Amino acid sequence: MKKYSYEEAYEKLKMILNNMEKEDISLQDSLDLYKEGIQLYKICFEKLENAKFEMIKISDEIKDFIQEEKNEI
Amino acid sequence: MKLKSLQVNQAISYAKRLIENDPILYNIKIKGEISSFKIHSSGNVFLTLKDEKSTLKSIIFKSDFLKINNDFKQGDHIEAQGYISIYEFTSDLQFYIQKIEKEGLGELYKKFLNLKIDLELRGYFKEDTKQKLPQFPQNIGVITSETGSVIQDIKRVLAHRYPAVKLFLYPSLVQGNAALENLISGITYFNKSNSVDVIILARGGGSIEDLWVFNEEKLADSIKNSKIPIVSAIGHETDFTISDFVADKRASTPTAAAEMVVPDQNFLKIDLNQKIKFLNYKISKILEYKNQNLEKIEKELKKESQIKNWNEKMLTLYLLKENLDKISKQKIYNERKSLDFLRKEMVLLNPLNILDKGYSILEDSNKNKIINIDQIKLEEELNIRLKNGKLKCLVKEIDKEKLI
Repeated sequence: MKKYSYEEAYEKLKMILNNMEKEDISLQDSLDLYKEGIQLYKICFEKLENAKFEMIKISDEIKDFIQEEKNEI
Repeated sequence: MKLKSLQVNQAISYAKRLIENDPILYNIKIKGEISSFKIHSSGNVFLTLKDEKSTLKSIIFKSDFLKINNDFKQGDHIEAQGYISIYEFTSDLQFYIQKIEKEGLGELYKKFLNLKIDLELRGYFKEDTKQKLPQFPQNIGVITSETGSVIQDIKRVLAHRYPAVKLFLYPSLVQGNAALENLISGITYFNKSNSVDVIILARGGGSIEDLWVFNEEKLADSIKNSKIPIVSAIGHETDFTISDFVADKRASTPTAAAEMVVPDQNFLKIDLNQKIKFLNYKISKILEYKNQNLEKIEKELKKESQIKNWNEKMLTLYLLKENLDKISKQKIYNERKSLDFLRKEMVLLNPLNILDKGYSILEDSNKNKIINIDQIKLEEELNIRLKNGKLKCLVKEIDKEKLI
């Protein structure tokens, strides 16, 4: 399965729920959608469960670099 | 009446008490120009305020001066708040300043209003040109002071509410002349590196002068031109700056800004669980429905095949019957025909019929039919049968001569 961001997985899950509302859905399609939905749910949940907050400070060197570039322009 | 003489200090103390108990002098606002300004080694500040007619010796104690943000110099027009009292040692009337603001604050406010109107007319605040905040940001840029409570508040909220994000802090001055350049560089940096989904521009509370940089037109331009949505969280809930109006969203405090840019993970988990419950419910419903459908179809099929069978049988039967009819008719016809033929034969063959036409039958005495003349001898007795009788005859002559 492709690597999803939380948003992509969540949106796809919503789409699957919508598609399963269709009346003329075939048995095979609904089973395929169900399987995919479960997988997407797992992806989302694991992303939340395993998340570790991180803070990165933009260093002065990077700031200077941007500043120089700006000055050149 | 003889006056009682007082000590110098008693007189001054009395005067001091009178002044300090005066409701106006006890808490007074005075505006004037700074004619002298000196920070003593103790940290206390001595200055003189003046206008065209008077001068007023003033002092700011170190503890109060530290709370005052602005720098002052000789010649500045200021508005100061404090109380008036007497310095007993020199008997000087002194103004004890507790708060101080540069005069012309009214001017600043006017400038703020003018810029606000100008930018509003130029469409800087239009809601429909504002960018939407991402629903699930992965990287968040924060432009604020590296020290102080603002970044700590934002960090705490993000880590608790939605730890699936990276916070990129662009340390910036948030007050004073260098702050403008700093803040704009921060916005430029995040736009150039394109490393974040949303930017928080934040600063803690302060006076209108402290927050002034957020009212600068250049910063407003930078916010307006940012391709990344910006949330502005400047000062307290009651403070409004130009940045707040231009930004895609205004948060009342830095904490509120952090809450605004990320979803609550607890809520997301509840939502996910609801979705999975619905998914399970849906698939069971579909299976149930499909099963019912299958049973229905099965029944239909059975019924249909029965009808089909019956129809087929009827058709066969009909064909058979038709065939049978045809065959039997033919047979009857044929039978009848052969029967007719037989009857005709029979009529033809009946010897009695021949006698009708004038023929007779010749037999010998032993009733053998005489067909050939050689069977007959002369003087032999023969019988002749006629239609209605019999003759006994004698042969008189034999003439062998063909009849035809």
